[in-house]
Amino acid sequence: MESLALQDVCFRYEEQPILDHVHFSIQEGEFVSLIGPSGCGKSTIFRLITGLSQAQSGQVTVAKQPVGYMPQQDLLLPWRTVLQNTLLPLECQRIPKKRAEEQSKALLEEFGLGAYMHKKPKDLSGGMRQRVAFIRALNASQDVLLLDEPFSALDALTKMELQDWLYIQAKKWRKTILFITHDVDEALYLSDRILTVQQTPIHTLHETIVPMEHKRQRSDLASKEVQDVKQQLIQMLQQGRQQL
Amino acid sequence: MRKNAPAIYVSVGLLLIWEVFARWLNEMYILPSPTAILQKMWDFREALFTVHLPATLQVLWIGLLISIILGIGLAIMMHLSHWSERAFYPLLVASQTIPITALAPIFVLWFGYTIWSKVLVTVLIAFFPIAMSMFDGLRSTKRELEELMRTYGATKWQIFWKLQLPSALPQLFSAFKIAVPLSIIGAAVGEWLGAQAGLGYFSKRMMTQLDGAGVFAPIVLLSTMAIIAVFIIRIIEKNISFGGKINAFDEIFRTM
Repeated sequence: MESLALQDVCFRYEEQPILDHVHFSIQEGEFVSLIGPSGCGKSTIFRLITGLSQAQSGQVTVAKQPVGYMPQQDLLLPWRTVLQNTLLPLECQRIPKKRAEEQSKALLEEFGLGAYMHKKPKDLSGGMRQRVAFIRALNASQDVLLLDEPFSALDALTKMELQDWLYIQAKKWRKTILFITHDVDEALYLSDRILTVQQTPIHTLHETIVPMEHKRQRSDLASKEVQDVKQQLIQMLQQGRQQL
Repeated sequence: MRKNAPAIYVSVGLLLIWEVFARWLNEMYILPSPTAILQKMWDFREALFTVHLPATLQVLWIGLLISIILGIGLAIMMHLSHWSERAFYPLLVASQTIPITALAPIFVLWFGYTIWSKVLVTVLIAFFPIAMSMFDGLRSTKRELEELMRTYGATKWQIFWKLQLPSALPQLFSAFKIAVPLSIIGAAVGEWLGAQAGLGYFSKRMMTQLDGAGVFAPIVLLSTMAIIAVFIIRIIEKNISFGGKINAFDEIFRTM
């Protein structure tokens, strides 16, 4: 079942074409990574899916609302505590306070932020704030997630922990995830498919199927098949960068 | 206490210099010494503290209450309704250029020696900075934050209560810190023109009697009031906005 689809979408920003007849779809339960040079328009695709921006032509289809959007900046409200920040989407959806708090507290504990629940964002490091923003995005939607470089500010160990957690959760609950990252290994480890931006304005997205099983391990990344795919992807990214 | 030590030393030093210089000058009707002022405050303590101070305080609290309600109310209305904004914002900006205290005689003409002539001057002075700051504060929320809330399915009302109102609070408190001392000036000026009691009235009466210490005494009281008021505002600000110990507003905003 199709969860997200862009059909023949064109988008211009102040006379500058960003998306040029872009066409792709994401099936329910898929984990798809979107990679490409910085500033090429990946975040724009997210904005079109969440409805924050309108395409000039073409159609954007989202099967199930709401979509959990995690932007690149953490955008935490400075006057709310960590816990209160994670509750924000649940408040907007009018979920009863007790249930919302239980859900958020469980996630905060799981990601090692239990002791910081009642602190303000200014007391947290960049990596901690990103985790809070991640939990908030999880609260926004159980089914579809748009994650814009969600783990970029994390140290290597925390990053791996969260990647593992996300992967298990995604498969267990059949979450549909569209994931922007600059880390090719991360994209390979987590995704079923990788869409690569090849030129700006974005026109065709090169699709790569990740040659790994559902029950994958980090050691699988070392296999020759995966390494070949990785080389291809890096080459495409380098070519794309030269264009910019 | 430690942090304030240098300021305290300088203040005490200045007072000593003043004392010595005033005694040397020996023209108490022009420059009374600090001790002479304190003596005068003591001599007139009954009148000052039971009659005039309460009179001025009454003007102030009524004037400020009206200013706060009107100012915040107008700001919210302009924020929620584009028509209101286009109608009132230019008037608001233009009114800032009018010398408010020069309008005081008009209010005495209209309201005589009743409390309303002085309250009106106070309101006119305090209302505008409060309205302007609140309105600017409401508008100043980052677009990205509003957009993020829209992705959560937030209604316009929820965005107002959970995002825009809390983020306008710092500017609102800055406005209070400006408006309150200004309104004390307004009350005093109003009293000069049309009053039978109050600290401003008292200082004017002392002036006509060439009583230097008598003029300074209520001024000391007025200044102390201003300092205490700003101090209280800062304490409230620290505890309410950006969450201190009293998260009262946070709770109210979050349940909206």
